[in-house]
Amino acid sequence: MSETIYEPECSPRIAATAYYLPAMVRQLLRSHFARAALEAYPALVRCQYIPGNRSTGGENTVNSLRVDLADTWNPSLAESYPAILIRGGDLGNTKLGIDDRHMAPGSGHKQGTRYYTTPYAGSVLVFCLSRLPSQAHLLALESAEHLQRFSSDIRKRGNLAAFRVSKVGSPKPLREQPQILASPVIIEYGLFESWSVTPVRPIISRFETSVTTR
Amino acid sequence: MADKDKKPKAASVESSPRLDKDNSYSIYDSGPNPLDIARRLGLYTPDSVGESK
Repeated sequence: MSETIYEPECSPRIAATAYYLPAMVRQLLRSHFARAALEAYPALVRCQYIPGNRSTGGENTVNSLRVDLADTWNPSLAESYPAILIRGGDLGNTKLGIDDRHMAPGSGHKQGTRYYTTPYAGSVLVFCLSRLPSQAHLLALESAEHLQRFSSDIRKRGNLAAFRVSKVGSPKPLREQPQILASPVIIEYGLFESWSVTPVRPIISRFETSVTTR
Repeated sequence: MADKDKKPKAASVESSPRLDKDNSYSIYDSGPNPLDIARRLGLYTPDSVGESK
């Protein structure tokens, strides 16, 4: 459409949000599980996250928690447990109204600006993996509690409509590696993508002047 | 039909059937249906537009 220019308003960009939200969750969980205070839980012994430990291959490699994106997961890495792996779920769009349009908030319509809004809903899946079911479940419960505490801040920072922990799954075998137990934490979020389209020329210039006499 | 002969209705389950099918999880599961999420979060009502501003 060569006639119009695209002007995104102050709105979360769907690609950036859906792509970086798992990374934001990873950072929150890394900082949480890096605290030694978690050792108060007997089931979470050796579940402390030690930054840089995996890449350097230090002597504590086996005894530390891995918190990473699921893209890096390799089922052949037997030493990578306990682990928390995060990935984004499906993202869906729901129809808000006719043509996703809503009323212009003010003076924009004089230039012919059209305003659009459409809601998206998606999920972030946090898989807590361990060889022990109690450890996997406690990791999931601890992760869910921590994420719920910061859900309001994440929602504001990401300009989201909603961000909440919706479910903590009970431990069940991981299909790709049945000897490993997985307990998923499901996070649901929603956002409104808003944009406007403005004609290059003011809409008033399209009017033809004509006089009709009777 | 008498009331005692009626079969009870199945309870609606608001879980994610794609996530725990076969009584196991997969790291590649897609998560809950986005439309169910939108319905739970109330994102499909026109009034929600005003709340996001």
